[in-house]
Amino acid sequence: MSVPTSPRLHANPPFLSAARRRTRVDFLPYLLFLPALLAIGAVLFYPVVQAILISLRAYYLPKVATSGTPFIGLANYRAISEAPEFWHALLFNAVYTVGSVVGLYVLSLLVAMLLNDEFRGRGLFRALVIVPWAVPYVVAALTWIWIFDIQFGVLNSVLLRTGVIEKAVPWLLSPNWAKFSVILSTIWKQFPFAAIMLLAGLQGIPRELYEAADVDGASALGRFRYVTLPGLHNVSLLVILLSGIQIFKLFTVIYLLTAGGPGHATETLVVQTYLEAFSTFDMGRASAIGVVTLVITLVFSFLLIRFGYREEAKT
Amino acid sequence: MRGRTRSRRGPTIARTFRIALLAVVTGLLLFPFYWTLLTSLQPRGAIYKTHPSLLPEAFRWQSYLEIFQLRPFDLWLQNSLLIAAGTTALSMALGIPAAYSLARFAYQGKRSLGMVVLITQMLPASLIVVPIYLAFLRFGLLESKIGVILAHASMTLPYAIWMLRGFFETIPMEVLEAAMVDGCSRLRAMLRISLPLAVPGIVGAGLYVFETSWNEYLFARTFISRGENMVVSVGISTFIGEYTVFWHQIMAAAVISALPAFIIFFVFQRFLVQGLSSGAVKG
Amino acid sequence: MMPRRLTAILLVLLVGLAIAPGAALAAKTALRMGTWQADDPAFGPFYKEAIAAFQKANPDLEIVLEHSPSAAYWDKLLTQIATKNAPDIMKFAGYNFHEYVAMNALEALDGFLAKTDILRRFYPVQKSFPVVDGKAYAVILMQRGTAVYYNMRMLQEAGLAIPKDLKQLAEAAKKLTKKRGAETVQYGLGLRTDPKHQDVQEYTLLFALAYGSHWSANGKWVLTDPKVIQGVQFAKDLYDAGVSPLSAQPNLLRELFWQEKLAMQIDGPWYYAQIEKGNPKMLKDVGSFLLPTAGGGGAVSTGGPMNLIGVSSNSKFKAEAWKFIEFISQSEWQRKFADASFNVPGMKGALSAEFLKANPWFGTFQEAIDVAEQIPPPGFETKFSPFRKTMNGALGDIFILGKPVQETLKAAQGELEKLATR
Repeated sequence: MSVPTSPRLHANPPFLSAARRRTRVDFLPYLLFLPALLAIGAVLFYPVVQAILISLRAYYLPKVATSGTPFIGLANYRAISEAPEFWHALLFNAVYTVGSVVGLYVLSLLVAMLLNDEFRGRGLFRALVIVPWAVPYVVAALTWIWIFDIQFGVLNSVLLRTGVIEKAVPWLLSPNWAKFSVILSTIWKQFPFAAIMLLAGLQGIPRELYEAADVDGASALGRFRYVTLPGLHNVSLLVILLSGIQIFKLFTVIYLLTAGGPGHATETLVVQTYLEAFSTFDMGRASAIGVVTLVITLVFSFLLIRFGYREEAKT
Repeated sequence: MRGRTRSRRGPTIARTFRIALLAVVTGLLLFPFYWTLLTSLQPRGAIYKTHPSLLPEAFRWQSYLEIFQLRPFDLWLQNSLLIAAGTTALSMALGIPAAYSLARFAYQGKRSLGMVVLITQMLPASLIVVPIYLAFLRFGLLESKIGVILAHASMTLPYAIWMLRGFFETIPMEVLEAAMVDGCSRLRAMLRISLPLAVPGIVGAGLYVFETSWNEYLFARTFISRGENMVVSVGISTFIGEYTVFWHQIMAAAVISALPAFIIFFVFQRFLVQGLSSGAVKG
Repeated sequence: MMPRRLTAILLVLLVGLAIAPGAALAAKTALRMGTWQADDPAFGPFYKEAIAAFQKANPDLEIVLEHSPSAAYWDKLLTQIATKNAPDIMKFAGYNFHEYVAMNALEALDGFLAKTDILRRFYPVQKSFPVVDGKAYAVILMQRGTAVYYNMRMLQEAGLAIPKDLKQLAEAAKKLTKKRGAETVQYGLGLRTDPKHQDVQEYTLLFALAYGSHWSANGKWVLTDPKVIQGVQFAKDLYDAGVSPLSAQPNLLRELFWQEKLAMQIDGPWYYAQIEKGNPKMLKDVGSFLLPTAGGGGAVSTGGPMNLIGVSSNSKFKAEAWKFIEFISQSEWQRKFADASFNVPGMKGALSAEFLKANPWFGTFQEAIDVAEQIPPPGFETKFSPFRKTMNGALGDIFILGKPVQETLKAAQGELEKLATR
């Protein structure tokens, strides 16, 4: 093998940019993507379009038989913008997402760094960390409800017995405590995935960089700041983006723990969507809230990717 | 050389401290699960106490037997396993090429494609379940494992693609270019070079898909009603009766339902942290 | 000259085509039936037996059971109704009946009913038959009437008689609450106050009724009516006095009662089976009485049809689906239902004499059915689900967060009045 024959080789990334070098379109990347796109589209395309269309109609199930589903334009959107619960849900959704993602990230980073050590039995620890994630949502919720129970829960019991608190804390029954409890349970349930990703990311940081830092006399903190964190930049972004999207629309945890209560305190947009659809039977309004959720998530994802993503530095 | 675990770095004291810290953190994190386990061992009347004991007071193992006797729990485990495995296979088969496409090529609409798949995930599940139900009804996909696999794959593919893309991007260009110099076609370069190097990413994404499918509740319960296709995540909630909750049974079921996922993870976790095969790239 | 393989294939096809119509004729019609009770220890076996017997009597019909866990059943049913794929035989709860009728989910059964004597044998039309605009849309599977179970031994030991008015009830509840240090070892009266659980407004309604008012009257919400306020305040004062576990879910209260840690529990006939399973020894100490009116001299209860069975409007086999309903409405099966589940079915007098003799206190529940008021607020039946959420939220605020009764009820009324605009 001697002379490289492929004209598509560059020294600089992207190395397979056929479009610039050749006149005809390179189909391979599209072909690679096509099956996945088809699979996703086949299942989700119709529902996504449906949701948008329904949000523009009056679709209150008990009245459909008599009045049908007339087109009402943006009336549903106007109605929800006038409802204080909607804005409250929006605000709490933001708080919930940010709180959970930040907590989850810090915890995952800590756990990933601890797991990065080489010692006997680390395989077991790595597998143990997955347990919160491996437990089905229903079970996790029941266990947490049990732990948080105001009268029979072990959390209050321990805190009372050790004198940390004097009166039982209404973990799920007072608006503010419920918000906290819901965030805590979410972090617990969702962090393993992030920890695994960060661990794999830590694996990808070249050892030479740490050795170079040592040579330069860096402290442990210095190593962390100048080697670990930058090395984890893209993985961290990925973790924050994916868990952010997931948590923003995470329904099961909140619904099972508090059903959006007490009152409307822990209602997020998705919980409200569910309640509008399955409790109030107003599909039109539910779809409107759903579309709003989609738009918000979209904007944030776009911003995050646009301004956060860095091309991987090549050695 | 990349990514070996930092073994024997720093003084042993620091390392012992780190391991101890890990043990403590893990212990705290696993407490809720410990509590689940504890509750599953209690006899029926002992559940409601203002100051429950932190240590097991009873070892009533019968709950674990009861759940298999009272329900076709083994069938549920089997179904969940089949569906999760099917979803993982499908998501990996479709996701790997798609992720590779996003990571290693530059072409028109690349960014949009990446965003489009992610956008499909931004609608609340509770909203799309009804239209999907309708579509599945029309195509005869209800009451079948295939339908659930398809639904789960549509939920997990976008995340899998983005995760895999991230890992594909960390593979240095030089490796692929070296292969191309040696006369590899692009596809062969992908298959023979990139994939093996991305094993940690692939395993990670695969585990994510498996876990998500295993735990998924909403679609499974909506698309399946007949007993023969029932899965664990939905079946467990049948222990929550109309008038009473069979706590010790539900907790026993919980412990068992977490096991397969845990075991699979335990088996595969070493691939997650395996470094690149030595000698792939020179310095 | 055709290749042999092709001939073989054609032959198979021809034979297949010949058999197929015959096969179609012999095939059974599959009727889908939705249920959340297939795993229930009381109802499960009953339906299994009934279905088997029905299929034997009707060899051309087959019933396919579609089971969902209790919590998931309702959302699923709604999805099915919305997509016109509801099971042929629909089982559902009394609360949602009017909503389903409004959604056109149920088929009117008057034609079928006219050919049977069900109307004669079952509970009186006005009180219990789900009738809307003069048409009957379902048949009752199970009636409900709530009354107070009490532990006779505990009452005797405390020297108390059965409360005859609310004041006596409050005194009894407080007297029967025993503490040991900071921990309560015996509770006086179980109050359902967990705002997440659907029962809260239903059981608090009893106290409003005791003072003389439902949540609505004459087509208007009356949450700020003094009678309603007094009723809720009564429950709240008892809660504050510690007679009930904090934020109690029904499961908790039920367990406590049969563990003999709770003196009085308000519940329905279905609770009997649980006591029997949990602690059969205490059955001899179980008594019951109807909740008295505030001033005494009367009794209140909440009830109406609890479980109903009907034919979905999208069914392609309506007549066949009706056959099953007719089948289990026969006296023999109604009695079997009562025996299997210790619940009151749609038919009058289904409970056997022996059972009533062995459990005389069960008679209270029969009486309760006669006095029972419906649970969905009169005039607002089609808004029951959103009403329930708002009301439970408001009551949760009152009980758990200690918000003032009058203001909270006023705010709730405001929210409820907005519902009418949908």
